[in-house]
Amino acid sequence: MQNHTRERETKNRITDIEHFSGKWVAFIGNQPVSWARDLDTLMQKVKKEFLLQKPSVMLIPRKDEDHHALMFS
Amino acid sequence: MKRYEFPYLKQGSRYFPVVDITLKYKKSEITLKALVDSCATHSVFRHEVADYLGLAFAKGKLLHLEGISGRIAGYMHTLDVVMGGISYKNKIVFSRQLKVSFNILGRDNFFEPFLITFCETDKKVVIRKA
Repeated sequence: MQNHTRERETKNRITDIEHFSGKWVAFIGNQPVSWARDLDTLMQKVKKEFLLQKPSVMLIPRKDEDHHALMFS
Repeated sequence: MKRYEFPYLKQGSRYFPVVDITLKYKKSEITLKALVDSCATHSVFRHEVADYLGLAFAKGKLLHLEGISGRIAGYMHTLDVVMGGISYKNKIVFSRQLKVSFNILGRDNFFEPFLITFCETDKKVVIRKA
């Protein structure tokens, strides 16, 4: 069962981003390629390092972040 | 029908359905990973994104949004967005009071152009044009 889950994760290229908690991270696909403490710094790095590709960026949730607060109306 | 697949993002033991979306404002643009949240009425993004785009977001329509953890104020704008090669206009609320790190894609109106499937077994989001 554990091997099956591992195979599925490899197929879908899921990467654990726990290491980057609290940081702004740039991804190519789902692979982290650059990170910084704030968005402006990250975007400056991305523009220098990735001339042809367009990474996607996000702020990684803190480890203690409560995700039960995601409903908005 | 064209379909787009996005693997869930994994953080420790938790998995999150995120997709890549590009926001455009005047000559600026940014591509983000955002959480697809079927419980959210509105799309709510972090203020840093508006700041990066050069959008004076406090000039938008003021809204008060209710979440489990409380009430926050935000400002709604309609921006040009691109998701999987499909361009359309999406209403987005920007807030300095957003208590979570995620940018959130809610039903009004991110869900309208698409058929969205959450594949919990395979840990992926599948999006098709409606």
